[in-house]
Amino acid sequence: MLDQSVSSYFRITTNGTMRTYRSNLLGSRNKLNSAMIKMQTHRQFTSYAENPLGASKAWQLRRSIWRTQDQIGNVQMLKNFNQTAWIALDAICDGTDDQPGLNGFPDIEEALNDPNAGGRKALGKSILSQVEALVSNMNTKYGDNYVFAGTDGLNAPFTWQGDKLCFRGIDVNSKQMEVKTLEDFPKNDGSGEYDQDAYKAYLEEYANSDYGKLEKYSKEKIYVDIGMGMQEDENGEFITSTGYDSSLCGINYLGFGLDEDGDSNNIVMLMKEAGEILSRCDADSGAFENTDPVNGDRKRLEVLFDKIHAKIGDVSEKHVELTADTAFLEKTEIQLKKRSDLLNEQREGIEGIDPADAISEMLWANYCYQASLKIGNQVLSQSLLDYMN
Amino acid sequence: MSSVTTFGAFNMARLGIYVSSRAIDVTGNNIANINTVGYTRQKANASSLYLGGSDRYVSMMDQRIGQGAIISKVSQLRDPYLDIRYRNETTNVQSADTKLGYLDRLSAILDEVAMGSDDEGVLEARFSDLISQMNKLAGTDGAGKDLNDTLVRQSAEALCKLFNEKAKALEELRAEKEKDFYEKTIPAVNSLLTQIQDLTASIRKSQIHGGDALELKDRRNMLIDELSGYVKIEVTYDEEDVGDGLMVERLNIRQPETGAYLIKGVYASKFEKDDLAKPVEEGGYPMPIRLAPLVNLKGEVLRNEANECVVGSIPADAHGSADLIETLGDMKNFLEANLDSYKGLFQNQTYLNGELRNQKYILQAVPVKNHGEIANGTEMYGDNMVEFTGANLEIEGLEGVDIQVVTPDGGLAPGQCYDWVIYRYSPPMYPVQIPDDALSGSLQADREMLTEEGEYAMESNLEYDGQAGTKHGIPFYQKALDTLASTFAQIMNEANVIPDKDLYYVKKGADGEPLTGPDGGLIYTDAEGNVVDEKDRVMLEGYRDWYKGGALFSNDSNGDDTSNISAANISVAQSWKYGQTKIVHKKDPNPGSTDNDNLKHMLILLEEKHEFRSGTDRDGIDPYFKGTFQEMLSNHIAGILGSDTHTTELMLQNYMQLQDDLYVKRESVSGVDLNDEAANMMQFQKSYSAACRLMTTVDQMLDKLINGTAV
Repeated sequence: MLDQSVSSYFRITTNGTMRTYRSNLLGSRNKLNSAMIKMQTHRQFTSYAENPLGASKAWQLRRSIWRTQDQIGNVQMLKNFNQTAWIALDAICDGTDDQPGLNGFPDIEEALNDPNAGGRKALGKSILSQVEALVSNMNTKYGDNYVFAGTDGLNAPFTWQGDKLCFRGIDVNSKQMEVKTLEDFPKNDGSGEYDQDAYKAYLEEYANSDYGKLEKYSKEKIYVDIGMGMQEDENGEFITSTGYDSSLCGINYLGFGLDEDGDSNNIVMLMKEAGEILSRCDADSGAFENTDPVNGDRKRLEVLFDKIHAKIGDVSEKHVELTADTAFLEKTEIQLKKRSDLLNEQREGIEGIDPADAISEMLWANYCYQASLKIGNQVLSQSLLDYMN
Repeated sequence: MSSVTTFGAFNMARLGIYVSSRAIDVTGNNIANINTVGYTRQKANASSLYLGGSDRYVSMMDQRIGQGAIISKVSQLRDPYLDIRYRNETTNVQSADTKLGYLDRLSAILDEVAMGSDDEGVLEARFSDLISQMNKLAGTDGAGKDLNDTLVRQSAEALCKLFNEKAKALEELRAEKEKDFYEKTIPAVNSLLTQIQDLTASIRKSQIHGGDALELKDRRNMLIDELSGYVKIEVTYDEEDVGDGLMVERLNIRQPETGAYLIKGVYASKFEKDDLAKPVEEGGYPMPIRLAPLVNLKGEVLRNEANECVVGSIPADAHGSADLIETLGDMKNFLEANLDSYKGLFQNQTYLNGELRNQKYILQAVPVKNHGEIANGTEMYGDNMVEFTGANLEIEGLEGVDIQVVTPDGGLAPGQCYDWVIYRYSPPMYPVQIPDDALSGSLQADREMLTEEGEYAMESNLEYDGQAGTKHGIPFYQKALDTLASTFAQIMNEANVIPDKDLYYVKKGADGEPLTGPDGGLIYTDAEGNVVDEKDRVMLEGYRDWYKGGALFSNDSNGDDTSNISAANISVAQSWKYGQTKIVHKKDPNPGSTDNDNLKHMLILLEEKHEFRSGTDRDGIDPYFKGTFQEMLSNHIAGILGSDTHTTELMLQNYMQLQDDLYVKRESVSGVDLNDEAANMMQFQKSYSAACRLMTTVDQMLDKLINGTAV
């Protein structure tokens, strides 16, 4: 059996002292090492374990910063895209050195009461030339993409097929089918219910009609993430208020379909018709080809010019909207940059060191370590043996 | 004055010199061993020598005095309680240290803090880059352009490669550590047990021959300290009768959770892989190990364990000689009728983690030779230490107590009376299977880090370890990374595919829903509605000219198989790599060339929260995490790892501090202090001088007597 006589007082032995000293010296060295690493890496922590909460927050912030940079990139691209569109619309509205703009389009009195009636033919040719320029401007590109093509950016939006102006291959003067609702399809069995299948077939026919397609094109969107929290709802449907619609559809600027008079809603087609009427006038006398007082060219021209001026107002309005959109994008870019700076600041606050604190900590750790080393010489003090004769 | 002898005083002086000389030897030994690791300071115990008993006719005038001093023994100064505490802390320290070693290796693979360019991480940065490229593709001027599709694909390839590398690193770590466990750690523990056994045998021999073997005991204590780091142990000492009434000290080391002995005197067990354990698929637990039978240095197995556990008996004539116990039913009835007297023998004992577990009991029928004589029960074990396969006995009032009946070969003979011997089946019969959550120490840490699956643990895992769901070993991190890769691949693949029912001409019912064939699959038709085989199916017109959807990720870069994608095998699908598959920008027919609906959707999927499932059968676990892909990686997987590491570091520091304190306390009892030894040396030097002076004085006295008074 082992002897169980235990001393009743606490003896400080050499080995006990050395163990304590070694243990504390290592601890001191570790602290110095940690302080040194902080100084050299400029980081508060270099592993998840050192600061789990801080590391978790830092990752979230880094991701947000990365996203924000992507969003800034998107906004800058959109700004350039919009500016290209704006320049094209500006040329359309205000004209260039070579070409008059829509805002300078003559009113009907000016066209009809020109003292030099022979100028009508020239005016007609000028209008036709303006039509070509307008279509050409609406086919402007930004990089490889057509600006006013909506969601079909790799293909020119406006093309001529004979006399017809087509948007994405569809005549812009397509007539709208009769608009019906479900109430227009009652069942014939006297039940008072509606024929869903017939209504569905009508909708499908409407959607597949030329006008239906144009209408669909005019409503298409291209949503881009510019920091509005892009997300989908629980059904997987995109929440439209969380993205920026960057789609510019040419027929929304120029118009499409026919109005209640059966005339084109498209300013280009209206101007083309007006230009052709004026081009048919006699070069010397300026007389109209069709002089019927009721259905003649003059009457027709009056109607066309009224409609053209109304459409010019619409185009100008769109031009102004584009200006507002671009201003919005500029403000968004500024906000995103501020957000990025703020996030970086927050991240730095979590990950980064305060140089003054870090230096003080390292100096103090070094001081403690040096002191521990100095103690080492005196750890093993003299004993009674040293004083015995 | 019968106690007075002429030369008695010489003897006294001589003994005094011997005692002082021996004591100085002991002091010198202490000083010489001041730096010997594990040395316990020794003390010479002197006791007074008194010869003679109590004479019947002793004179009242006679004064009995002692005959000097002798060194009765040299003992060690050691506090067993401090030893217990120190070893318990050593178990904790080694357990935490081993676990921390694993966690550090895992951190090198999975912790991306301060890694990568600009500290953006590695896999984390790849995910962010993929999102950026997808963002460009989904931008106003990005959709429909092959270049952007290529950039996304290249980013995805880099991501897949990183997944593969991390998975490979984790598997290599696991394989390396498992190999180390079986080829280094277990042999190291067994080597310690063997060394302790050797030393115990040497100490026993020394003690038989009258020695104390103190130095051998020191060496043995050091080995026991080292053993305690591997596994929690309970060290006790008792006495062993070696014959002729000679008792020597016997060391017993038990594993507390199972009660199994690692060392019992000169018998030692060893740890080994349990190849007879149930496979994991049948409800067993991974990495089963067991304790082999206790054997001595000659290889003889320790027998007759249960004989130490005879706790009672039911004699054949318990009812009286007129009504002897002959059958099992008789015995059962008797026991139930007299349960109050016998219930105390059948007690439960605590085994593991505070859970009450029933002891096993054996009721052995022994043919009666003479009334009341209990036959020797050793026969029932035979030569093989195997488990009993007797019938279980259900006793009313002892529900839940495991009682097995053992009868002689051929069963109970009719007309024969039997005494029934009650054995308590403890300690456990070898080989002892070590439960999954027993052991403690670094062995347990190794086992847990190599096998625990955390949230992926199944219900069956909890049966042998109630905490299995909260422990995270390498398998957890492997499975979590696999879940991340497979969920990512599945979501991206689904987003890039239009279902066949919407892509091809299929037969539909009146409600517009697709019909299914006898095999449960769709019924494909041509444009006119004629049924065709699947291989001849016709794509709807609105998709024919442009649709190139398909799987983006597969389980092999040389194919498009999307089954069982894991972190180790996730690859960019071959079709995407070679351009047959492209990222679908819109899922409606006849989309615009730059329409980005589906691209936008995929971008949102990359940043949206998803449910990650472990596939466990435990209720209320799945989904066990809901977050984005990056959150799963950096906040969940790395977060759990970081928290575990942080906690383990703190615990290790704590345990080490406690261990240091206990070491110093132990040293204060067992360690050599130069001041102490110097004082002892002075004391014994003086006593030596005094004894020598006594001898000189006695010499002078006798000289006077002999030479001064002779005629």
